[in-house]
Parts: sequence; C-alpha cells; structure tokens
Amino acid sequence: MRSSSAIYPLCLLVVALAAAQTPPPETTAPPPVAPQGITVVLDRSSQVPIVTLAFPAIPGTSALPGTAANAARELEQTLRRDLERSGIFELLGPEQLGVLTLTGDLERDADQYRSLGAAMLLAAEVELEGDRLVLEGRLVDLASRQTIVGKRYRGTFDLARRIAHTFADEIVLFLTSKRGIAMTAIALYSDRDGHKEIYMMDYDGYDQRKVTAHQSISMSPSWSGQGNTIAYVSYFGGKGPALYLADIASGKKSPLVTEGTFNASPSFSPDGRRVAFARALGANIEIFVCDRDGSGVRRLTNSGGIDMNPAWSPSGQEIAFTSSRSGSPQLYVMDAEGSNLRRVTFEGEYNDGASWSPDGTRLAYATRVDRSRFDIAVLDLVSLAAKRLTAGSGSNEAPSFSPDGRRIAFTSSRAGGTQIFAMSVADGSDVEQLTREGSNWAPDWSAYLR
Amino acid sequence: MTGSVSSVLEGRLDAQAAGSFRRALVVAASLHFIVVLAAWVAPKLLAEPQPPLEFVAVRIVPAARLGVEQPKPVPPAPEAKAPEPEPVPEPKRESKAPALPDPKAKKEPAKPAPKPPAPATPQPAAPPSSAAQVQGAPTGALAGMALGAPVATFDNPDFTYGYYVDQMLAMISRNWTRPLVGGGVEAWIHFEIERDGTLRGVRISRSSGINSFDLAALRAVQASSPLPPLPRAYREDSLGVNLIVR
Repeated sequence: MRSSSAIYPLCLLVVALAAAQTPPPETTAPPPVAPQGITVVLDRSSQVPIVTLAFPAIPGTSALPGTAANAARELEQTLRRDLERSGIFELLGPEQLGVLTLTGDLERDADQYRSLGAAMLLAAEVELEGDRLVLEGRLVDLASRQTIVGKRYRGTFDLARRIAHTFADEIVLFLTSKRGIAMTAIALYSDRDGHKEIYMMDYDGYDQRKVTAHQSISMSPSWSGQGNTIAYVSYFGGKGPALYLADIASGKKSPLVTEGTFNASPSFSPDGRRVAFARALGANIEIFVCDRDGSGVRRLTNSGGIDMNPAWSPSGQEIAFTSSRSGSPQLYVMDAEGSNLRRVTFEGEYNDGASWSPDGTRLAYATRVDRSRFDIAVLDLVSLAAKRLTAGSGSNEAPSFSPDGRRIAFTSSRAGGTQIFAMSVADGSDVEQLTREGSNWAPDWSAYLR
Repeated sequence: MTGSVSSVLEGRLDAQAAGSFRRALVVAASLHFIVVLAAWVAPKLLAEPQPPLEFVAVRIVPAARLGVEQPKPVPPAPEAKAPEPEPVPEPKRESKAPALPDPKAKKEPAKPAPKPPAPATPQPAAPPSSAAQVQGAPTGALAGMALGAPVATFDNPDFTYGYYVDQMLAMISRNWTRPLVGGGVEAWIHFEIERDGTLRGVRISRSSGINSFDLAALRAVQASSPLPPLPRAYREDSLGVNLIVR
C-alpha cells in the first residue's frame, strides 16, 4: 500500500511533465492550435500593400461659422496630406468619390466604395463645441465593415493642424506598427533674413520659426535624439566656427566646444549624451567626440586626409563620416570609440554627407555626378549596393532620414536657389518642396517628439 | 558449522536481495507503463476540457497579389496543395452585426452568434456567389483593389480583418530569409499578438525537422515585433496565430 500511495503522486508528476513538454504528439493529428487563433501561411515574400482609402469630404464643415469653417478646412486638408505623405495610402478624395450615389448607410455604401477599389474608408465628422473644434474620425475596414481605429479629438481652432497630425499618426500606427511622423520637425539653416541662422519647421514645411539670432553665420544643425536640443555651428564668437547648443523649449543657447579655431559638423549621439564633430589641427581635420557639456574631448580618427561630417548611428555604436584619406572623399564607418574602421563607398569620386536610416541598415548620402552636381543615393550597409534616388533635377545634397525611415529631406537646386525638399525613400517619388524663402540648407530631421 | 552458518546467511541475503529486486522490477515496470500511458493519455485528457477546436487551416494569399494576378474570383491554384485535409467551412461573416460601430458607444454589437461547426463534421462550402466578399479575389471592378478582400477564412470567426493579415505577412516576410533547404519543408510557429501589437510566446509548434529552418522562421517572427495594434473593433485581448512557414 505504501508503495502505491507513493506512486500515485509520482504518476501525477509524470502526467504534469508529459503535459508540460508536449511536442506535437503525433504528426498525423491536427497540429496544436490555440483556440480562437488564426492560421496563415507564409510561403513567399509579400510587400506591404498600399491601401486604397476612400476619404470623402468631411460633412459639417460648411455649416460652421467663418473662422471655425476655416479651421475645419485646414484640419481636413492637413489630414489628407498627412495620409498621402505617409506612403501607405492611395487616397480617393471627394472628386473620385463624386460618381457614387451614397446613402449614408455604411452597409449599403461599403460595396460602392469597394467598387472604386477602396479597401478602407475614413469617415470623419467635424463639429463645434463652444470655441473648440471636435473631430471624430473612424478608419473602417470595408470588407468586414469594422472599425480599425476610432478617435475623437477636441481643441481650439489654432490646434486644427495638430489634431489632424495626431489622428494621422494614430492611423499610421494601426497599419504599420510605427507611429506616423506628422508630429516631427526638421531643423535647417537659412539666409532668408540676411544672415545665416538656424530655423526649424514642422515636417510638412509649416510653421517655420527661427531658432538663433546671432546675426553671424550659423549652420549645420543636429537634433538630439530626444528632440529637445539642437547642436549647431556658429561664427559669432569671432574665433572661427565653434559649437553651440540651443534648447528648444527655453530658447537658451549655450557654448559646447569653443576652444580651437575650427570646430564643425556636430552630430548628437542618439542618447543625447555625446556629440561627435570635426576639428582642425593645422591643415588636417579629424573627428572628435565630447560629452554633452563640452568636456571629455577625445580624438577618434588619425589620418592624413580630411575627416568630416560624422553621423552617429541609431544604435549609438557606430559613426559614419567622410574622409579623403583614399585620395577622394568617401564614406567610412567606425565604432563609436574609433576602432573597426572600414570604407563603405567605392563608386563615384565624391561621396559625402551620410545620414543613417533609423534601423541602422542604410546610409543616405550625396554622390557627385558631374562637376557641380550631386544626387542623393542610399547605400545598403550589408551588400554595399547603392541606389540613386534623384536624377536629372538640379544638384541634390544633405539627405536626412525621417524617423520612420520612409522619407528623406534634402536640399536641391531644382527650383532655383537652394531649397529643402522631402521625398519617398522607396523610389524618390512624392517629392515635396518645404522651403521657399531665401536659400535653405542642411535639413536635419528630428526623432519622434514627445 | 561456521561454513554452514555463513552459507545460510548468504542464502537469506540472496533471497532478500532477490525479493527486493523482484519488487523493484515490478515497481519499475509499472512506473514505466504509467509513464508511457501518461504521456499518451495526458494530451488527450488535458485537451478534453477545452471546447473542440474550430480549426481550419487555410491558405492566405495577400490580397494585393490576388488583385494583380488573379482578377477572377477563383482562389489561387496552390490551395489544392494545402496539406490540411479539412474542407474550408465558410465563416458566417454575414451574421456579424454589420452596422458601423460607433466609437462613442462602449458596447459592440453582439458577438456573432453561432460559431461554425467543428471541423470534424465539415459542412459543404456555401456557394461562393452568395458570399462574394468572403472568398475569392475581387470581381470585376473590384479587381484592382489592393486590400481588404479576404481571400481566406479564419478559425477564429471573430477575427475578420484581411488587411491585418496582409500587413502581418508582409512585415514578417520582410524579416524572413529562407535557408537553402529543399522544398516541402514546413515549420509551424505559434504566437500571441497583444492588443498593442507586441508578440508574446513565440515558439515552434511543429518542427520542420530541420533545425536551421525552424530557427530562421522563429527569428523572422521575433524580429517582426511589434506588429500593428489589433483593430479596435476586435474585442479580445490578444490574437493567437499559427503561422505555417514554407
């Protein structure tokens, strides 16, 4: 009896063990499936599909009083443009949808939308609550007639664009797993008021505002990874180019590296704690790094050529830069401590201005195509294969990836002067001009802002 | 005397030893038997309390590809090759309350009432004509649509979002590099998608028999976290996915 009573718990233990590590017991039985799961097959690569989105005119706008109606129109326009620019939608607007005879009943209208090829519907309404605009929007999957994301936003009229951006980012999140970039910003420098000053603007070119007023030459802005500080170069101290920091919230400027006669091209580390930059030692220029307070300056490169334009990788572990050590300016990558140096561009006689893709797998840069013209190219860091994104329209330089990796801001002479544009990384399409006043240079796209 | 005493003692010892050995043998044998029995029975026993699985293995083809290559309302030919023997019951999509859910309202329309019968008693597929948007590629003017034409059914009748499956497959396939093994290799990866798109419990639920293939498939899925958040109208906290990687 004793032995059997000992065996019983043992038996339970064995059962538990057997259950715990149940590899599929027999190959003929249906494979284990969690109840309420779905089963899908992955057998070929598939592209993230472009979603055809029906976005009819937002009803309620015309019934609003003057200023409210203007704000509502701005909201709608901004939302439309944000979604187009996201690169994941093809929009069917009021013009294309005008051929339909809609009933207002989704069950009956859904098939009409689908007859035009739409897979999703953006149903939105705008109304007034006191002095505030209320947007209620739903993204609907037309096949299942179910809401993918539904949101309600309220804000004063001056927040119309922000409401649209916020909703657009939310929609993009639900389709791509990454937030949209509609709330990001681009830093640049411009001579529009007679001096070269640092500016910043919304990602779509709206709300351009001045960051510096040194009335000297200020250039080469670089965002910190947190989006609260811009490092830049300025000559205003009189001793040659030096590095400064601008705090965005307070507007406060502070010196970063001012010793020496030439400090240039700062690049924040992604954690915002260090800055890589170029410093001249006599006729030679090398890459250096310092802490955020300007202390701990260390030299990273040691070559006879000129080393410039460092760009810190998104992981913080590598730095790309331009060096002429081989006889012509080419891109190199090294570990952030200066070791493990390797050259990554071998085509073209002049490659410069590296910007990392947010996933750290690619570099965008400018490559010279004839004596005075550059084009933007993207280099795959594994295969070292490069793909040209611009061709035949002016000189294109200074690329900067958006934080979702879908767009690149750059400068181009295609419209006269030097202006800032943005385009799709996939194929250089969907080009949009972001600046028009004066000449504008060196766009640097912020990380996601809070 | 001393010899006989010791031999007697030895004899007793032998007998004792033989007796305990026999007992041990019996215990060991019965334990083995129990273990085997337990291993065989346990999964069935444990599975029993669960409702019969509504499991239908279906081939899902990204709608975009169908829209381009298969303008006719015919499921892609390879469907016949799917090794799963169960026929595909039509989900009762029409039975879902189809009204546009109101985001202000906290409550969803009632859940779809009857679930399709268990696959053990497959029902004949409904004529596709009556459920054009349920199965097959879009027809006619719908042919060009990029998304949203569900071309497959799910064993979870609550999950009706073809677009989500398209996005998921596209994101995973971007991370998937097939090892150089021959054809006919297939690994099953199981995982749960949380509301916010995070993946949990990624594991091999059925090995391909080739370790490198299993691990590559596993890595492709793990590298795809997070996926997009689950659609708002889908009310469960998570979604289980059985991914068959070929």
